[in-house]
Amino acid sequence: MTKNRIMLFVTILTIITLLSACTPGGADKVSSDDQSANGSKESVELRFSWWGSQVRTENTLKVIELFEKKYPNIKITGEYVGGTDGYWNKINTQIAGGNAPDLIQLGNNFPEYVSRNTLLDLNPYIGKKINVDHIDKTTIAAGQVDGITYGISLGSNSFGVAYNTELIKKAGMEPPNGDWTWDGFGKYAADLTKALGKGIYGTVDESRFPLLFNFMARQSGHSLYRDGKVSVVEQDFVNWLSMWDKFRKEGATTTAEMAAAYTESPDNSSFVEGKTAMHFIWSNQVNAYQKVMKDEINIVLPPNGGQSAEKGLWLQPSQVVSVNAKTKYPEEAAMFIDFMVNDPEATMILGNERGIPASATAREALMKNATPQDKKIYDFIDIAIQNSTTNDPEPPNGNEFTTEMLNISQSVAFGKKSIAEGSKVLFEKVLTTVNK
Amino acid sequence: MARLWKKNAIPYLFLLPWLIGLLALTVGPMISSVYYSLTNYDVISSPTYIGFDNYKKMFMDDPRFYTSLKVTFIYVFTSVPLKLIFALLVASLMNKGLRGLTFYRTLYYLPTLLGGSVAIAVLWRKIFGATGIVNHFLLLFFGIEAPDWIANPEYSLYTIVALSVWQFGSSMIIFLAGLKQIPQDFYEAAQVDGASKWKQFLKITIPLLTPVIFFNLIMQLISAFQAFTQSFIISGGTGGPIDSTLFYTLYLYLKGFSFYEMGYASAMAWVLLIIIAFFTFIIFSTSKSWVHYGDGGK
Repeated sequence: MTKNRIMLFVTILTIITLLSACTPGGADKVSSDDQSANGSKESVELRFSWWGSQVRTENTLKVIELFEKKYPNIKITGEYVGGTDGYWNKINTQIAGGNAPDLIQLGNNFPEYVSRNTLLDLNPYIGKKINVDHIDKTTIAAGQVDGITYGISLGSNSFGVAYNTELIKKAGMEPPNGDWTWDGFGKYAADLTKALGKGIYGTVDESRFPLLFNFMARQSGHSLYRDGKVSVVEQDFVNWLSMWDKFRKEGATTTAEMAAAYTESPDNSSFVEGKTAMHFIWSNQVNAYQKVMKDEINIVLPPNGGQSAEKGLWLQPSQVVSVNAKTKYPEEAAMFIDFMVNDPEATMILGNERGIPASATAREALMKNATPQDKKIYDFIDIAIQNSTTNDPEPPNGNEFTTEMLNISQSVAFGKKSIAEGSKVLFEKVLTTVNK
Repeated sequence: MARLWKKNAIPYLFLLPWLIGLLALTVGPMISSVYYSLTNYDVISSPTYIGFDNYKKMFMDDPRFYTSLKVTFIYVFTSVPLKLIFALLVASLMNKGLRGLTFYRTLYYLPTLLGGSVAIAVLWRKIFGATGIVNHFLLLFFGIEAPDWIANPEYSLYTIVALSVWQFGSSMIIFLAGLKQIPQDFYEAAQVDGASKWKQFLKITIPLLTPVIFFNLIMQLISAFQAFTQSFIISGGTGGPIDSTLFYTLYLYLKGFSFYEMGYASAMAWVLLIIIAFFTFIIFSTSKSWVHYGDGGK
């Protein structure tokens, strides 16, 4: 009997110890309260999440290492996702579970998170923990909603048409100069296909991407989402789908089957495999694409809308870094943001992989040390700025529209839906998702 | 009562970790998912109660829901029978007493172990892609220029069916165990009576194996309804091309985690539960007429 009692006692004790190890202990809390009082001598652990290519992950980890060396009491754990596919699911789940990272990389969709009260107001830290002396006012404004700063730009970006210089040489054609209409682009691509022969095409089929559709819509003064409402019309979709249909029939772009086989991100792209000669990419992706390709690539302006059309292009902060509203260490998080955008060594490591840096001093330092490859990007951005107008935020519930667009573009390509039907579905979809 | 507790306290204590897990990780989420299915819940902000609107929308106003059901039904009703037939076939061959039996057993079981993994799904992409091994082979030996089996919506689902059939290992092992249970003298007796191999298979093997077939059928059916990883990886998470591999669970996942409709996704989960329960019930209730137990079912 006593033996049993002892057994029982030991078992209970073990379980209690095990359980208490699992629950968030009181000890942690005390230290965090001390924390805000005396700055940064206690040991602090922060989590930072981002998405992106291998290049980005490597240099971000290097910057974290550098930061930890400078502030040995702060430890930063990187949580990264290659490509954007799984990223939003992960972040949303973490936010819902109250377990989101302290520092979160967001895109042009950050207002969606502001409206759901997930981001910290950074105004109190600006000028104190985060030095913005060398950052342009408009760049700061791009991370604000109603005058409150929710994100600091990690770099500005524009997109253009990247081309494979080797393939164009092989075809015996002049490289494009970026002064072309959509028709000119299509014709150039069709000529490339003819010259390059079987299995290689002039351009990637881009008909599935809402971003590029929006670019063309903006050339006729419309936009997927502007001033809180949809300002495209059904005809915009008709124009877009018929244009790509024409390109497909002229052989300018890949077959339906081939288009469906690739996601066209640096990891899975017909452009990377040398099966297409041109691809629309973000300027900051030039390095990531170049790194996985043997042939040299170059980037020029995307097609314009012709004589009377408006400028469709825009410059946007490709990524902003925000702070979780529930973070225990707002000051340290702000310090890390400052480090990423201002520290000379850190900005050199990060380079322009996330776009052209926000800080002017970082930009100058980078340009001084630029490789020929990077010079191309700076030159491109210079031209892009001249051809840009103010950017529009992404429509809410963008993911749902993106899937529908993929679906419809494939249905049209495989001949399962007419252009008229497809356009109708897309137009209805953009209205319902925005107003959901 | 107190005495009963005293007697069983220690076993219960040892059960506790599992019990806590069950309550916190299974029962808890199930109960909250019933509630979420009756709300409009975007994952990030708090849910608002909307009654049965999610269910109504699902059945009245969501063509993609029906697409995903169709895709799943086609998958379940092609892959499960094919897999079981294949598994039984291989098991019967192995039961003949092959040399190096354990080696083959491991070999055939391997795909099942690797089955749900991302690597295999990626491999599948390579094998059945436009320039994959399969098409290479077809061109080399038959001069056929075959389509991209994965990127063409006519065939994409069937490559996933093939992937599932290839993972016949676990059913095969269970069949093999079942076959070993059948007494040899039944066959000897049949042989004396002049029954052909085929007749023996139909009249002895199959009837005596029905409990095992029944078990495998139920298990495979349930897991087939829940298929997710293969299409998620092969289609890059889209269910494409043109929704041809949009499995029910994949659509549920997209709704919940990509489109910010966790309430709707919860409702879909409960509908799936009912569908699975329905088919399981049908199989159970017909089992009396085709499953034969040695003891007459007692």
